[in-house]
Amino acid sequence: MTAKPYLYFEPEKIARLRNLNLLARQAVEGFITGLHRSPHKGFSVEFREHREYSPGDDLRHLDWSAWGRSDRYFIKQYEQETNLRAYLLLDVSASMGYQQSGPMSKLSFGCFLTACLGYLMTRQQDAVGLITFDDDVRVHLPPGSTPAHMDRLFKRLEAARPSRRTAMAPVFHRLADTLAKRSLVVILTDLYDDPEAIGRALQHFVHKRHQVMVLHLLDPAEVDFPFRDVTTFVDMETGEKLQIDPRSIGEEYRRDIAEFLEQYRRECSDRNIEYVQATTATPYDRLLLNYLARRKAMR
Amino acid sequence: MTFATPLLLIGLLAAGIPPLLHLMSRVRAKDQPFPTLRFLRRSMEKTARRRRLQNWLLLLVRSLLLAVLAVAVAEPIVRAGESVLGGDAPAVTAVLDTSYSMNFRSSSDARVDRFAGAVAEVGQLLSGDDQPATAALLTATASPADAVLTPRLDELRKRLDAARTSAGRADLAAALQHAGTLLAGQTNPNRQVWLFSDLQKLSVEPWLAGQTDLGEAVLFVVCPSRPSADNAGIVSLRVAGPAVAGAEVEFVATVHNSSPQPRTAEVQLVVDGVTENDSPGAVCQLAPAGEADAEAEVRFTRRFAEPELVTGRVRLTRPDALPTDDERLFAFRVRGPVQAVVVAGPAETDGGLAFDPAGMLRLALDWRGPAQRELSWPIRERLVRATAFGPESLRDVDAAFFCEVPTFDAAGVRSIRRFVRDGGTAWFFLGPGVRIEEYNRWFFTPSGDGLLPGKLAPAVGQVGDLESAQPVGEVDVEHPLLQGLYPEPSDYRVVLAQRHVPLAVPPGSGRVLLRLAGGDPLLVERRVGKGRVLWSAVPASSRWSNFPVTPLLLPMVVRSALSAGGASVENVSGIAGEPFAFTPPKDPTDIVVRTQVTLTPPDGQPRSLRIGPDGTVRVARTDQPGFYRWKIDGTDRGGTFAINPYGPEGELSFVTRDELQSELARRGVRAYVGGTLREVRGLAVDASAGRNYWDLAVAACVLLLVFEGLLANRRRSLSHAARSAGLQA
Repeated sequence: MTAKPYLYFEPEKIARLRNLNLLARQAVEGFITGLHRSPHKGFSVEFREHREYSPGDDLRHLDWSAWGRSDRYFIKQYEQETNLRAYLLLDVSASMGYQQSGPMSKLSFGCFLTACLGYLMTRQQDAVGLITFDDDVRVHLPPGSTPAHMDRLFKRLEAARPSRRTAMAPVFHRLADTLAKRSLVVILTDLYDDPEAIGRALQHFVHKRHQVMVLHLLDPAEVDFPFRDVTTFVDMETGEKLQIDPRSIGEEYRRDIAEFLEQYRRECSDRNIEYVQATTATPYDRLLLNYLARRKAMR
Repeated sequence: MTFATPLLLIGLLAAGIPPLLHLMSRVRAKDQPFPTLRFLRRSMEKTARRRRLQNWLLLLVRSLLLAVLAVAVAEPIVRAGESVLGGDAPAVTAVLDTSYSMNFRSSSDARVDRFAGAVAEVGQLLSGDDQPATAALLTATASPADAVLTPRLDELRKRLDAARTSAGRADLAAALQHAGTLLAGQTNPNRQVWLFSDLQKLSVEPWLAGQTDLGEAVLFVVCPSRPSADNAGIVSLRVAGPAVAGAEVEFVATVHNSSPQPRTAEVQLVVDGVTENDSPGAVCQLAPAGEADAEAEVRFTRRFAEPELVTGRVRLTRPDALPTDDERLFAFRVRGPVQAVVVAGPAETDGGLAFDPAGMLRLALDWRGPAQRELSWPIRERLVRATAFGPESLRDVDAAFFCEVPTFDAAGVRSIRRFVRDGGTAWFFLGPGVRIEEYNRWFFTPSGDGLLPGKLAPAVGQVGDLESAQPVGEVDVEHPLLQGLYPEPSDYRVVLAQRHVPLAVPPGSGRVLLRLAGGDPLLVERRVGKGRVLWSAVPASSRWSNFPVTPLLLPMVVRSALSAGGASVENVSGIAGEPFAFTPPKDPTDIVVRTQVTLTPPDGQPRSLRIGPDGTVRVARTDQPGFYRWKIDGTDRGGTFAINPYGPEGELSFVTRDELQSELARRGVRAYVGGTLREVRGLAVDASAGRNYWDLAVAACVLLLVFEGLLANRRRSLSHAARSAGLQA
């Protein structure tokens, strides 16, 4: 058994996703030679490398000469196919370290998702950048699409630790001003902040013509609140303590959290922002698969 | 309440477990990191009140559940009668209802004498294996203060054998209260009050209405069963009128029906052995008990021609279940005719009888002409001229009428004063011939002890056909002299006066019977000593006023004469069990001071009584109804008075045993009520056997368990429902 080269990168899961590309709903500028719809169609591209054919690949890109030489199917890939800049914004605040009912913490889950998305995007020649944040930006890796860039991205993910308090609205405002225009901004966070302030910050991204996608990550225990015994709950970001008989407030809590999630769903919908809720109990590959399938159907 | 296995009550400590766990759970709650407390805090704020309530309720139910469980396994036994009949010999006070209603015998069960039965029951109580350690015997008609607790039961049994019903008033409340008081001083914890009574409403209702306190004692009531009462009785007898030979005396008997059926009662007046039952009201129809016409009055009148001691009775002719109330006795002395004297001033007879004051009065006092002298009449009158008036004129006289006597000499005035003070009635008619200043001189004293209430003034007003007259403006219609003479007070305005002698009546010095519209009195009464003086501002003739010729004056003169000297038949009988007082007459010729009388009650056992300083004899013991004869020791002067049963006792309406039991239970009195001693003891034994309530306690546990489960799972099921709803969404 070979050891995994990266903690948050599982090639076997990625293999199930590789023929599905992340499709931007809005047209972005750049050169599109692959599956991206682009207003700049027909622009010439340079060959970069071959990749073995896998079922589902467009037959238009089969390299018939290579087939003639080796009797194997290869798909031609082009350097100029990189026409999308994507920024993966990962929340590394203390609350993301929570793990109760799920198989991993929200941060780990976010890292896996980030790694998968990064890999998929670089495979279709998109440039992917990574930004981790809590109450400030902690890591800023500019977009890139080379294997070496992905190596850096994975290593930064592995180094991410939940530590500080969340204050994402000012961070988002600053990033909206500094990121290159017309980028895909994917935010992975638990959104524990003021919904209205965050809504305004997300609107800022939209205003700068970014396409924004929010992956709202939650532990199942945060939704179901399965606790029974009297418990002293400790706030992971502030250290504050509160002793509670969970059975007495469970119903009310679940109603409040549902209201909270609904509020974000409404905020994002109103601003034309893609919003996906996910708990860590959901296999992230399935999550991506479902999500990308749904995106493909929308094309 | 007791417990079969009281040791298991230690399980009650388990009731403290839920609160303890509650407290411990607060201390030992484990820490649980959580992403944010924002929603938890908000939920807590929203549910704080409900959670607090539910928590406490749950805590209470759980503690209660454990406590009831502990009680259930300890097997609670309720013994209402515990320690009543068990354990040491009790201290007992027995209250025997000796009211005469206990003598009631129903026609269907005439052999049963309820009082004798009750006495036998008390005898059983005081003897046998269950006899008390100490006991007292109280009767409801005797003073309870005489009873004391004693261990010598033989003496009590002797007293019991001598017990008889009394015709007097029963006071169950006082007897029971004293019974409780006697027991309150006992160290014996087993204290019992036994009441043997027919539970007549007359006795029971005042007891229940009061605040009788029996302390720690248990009450046992033995009440024989009663068939429906078939009884009518005379509940009261009123004898009214002047006790004067020739005067009419009225006897008014009130007959009451206690039967549930209507009854016809025949009533007889028996006087000195002569039966007189032909009066119109002798037979009366009585409605069933409880209705308005269940009571009726029967009236008899009788004139007694000669002075005599009158004794007799009013009785029902048909005997019934309760003979005690079938007759009422009376006794009074009828004196000889009233002696009246008319003292006439200078006569002016030329105007006929209407202008002859003395003639008018004499006619009023004795209306009989020569042809009617055979008829009985209570007043004898004679005429004395003013010029012949002296102290001898008032000897053996009860009433004196002075008609316009111009003046008096000193001896005459003294004799009049003495006459009035000793009880005589003097009536002065003022008129034309009267010397006002002489009257003021002789009869008015500034100190207020004269015969005149105030000074007289010279006569005012003019007499003549064209002169005006004052009508009467104010009448004292309640005064016995005026009562009933005219139907309406306004009718008295027919009395007119053209001239009169103004008479001052300071407050408290006299009673104005008639007052003219101008404010001056027309007729004034003043009490002096034992007698009285009447002052008329006009003469007894119609010279100044029409007063003498109205239908007022002559009846008033007769009434004043008949009532003179205290010749009424009031106070002719007393009530059994209540003190009675009478005043033996004095003989002015007797130079020896008499201090003793010999009283012979109906049982014939004479006893000596002292004459009090006020001249009255007080008879404290009057238990026996009947005639009590007395005689002043050393003389042949004596008299008789009658003692009657307490009338209302004949109203045979009763409280049922169930009613009494429920009323006592409502008041929290521990009591057992039954028909016999044996039955009551049986009730107490049944109660003391107790009942094990473990089954009810277990049922309560199950109910509490179910309730706890519902309460505890309510939130879980709500949580589950909420989760399911969330997943579906």
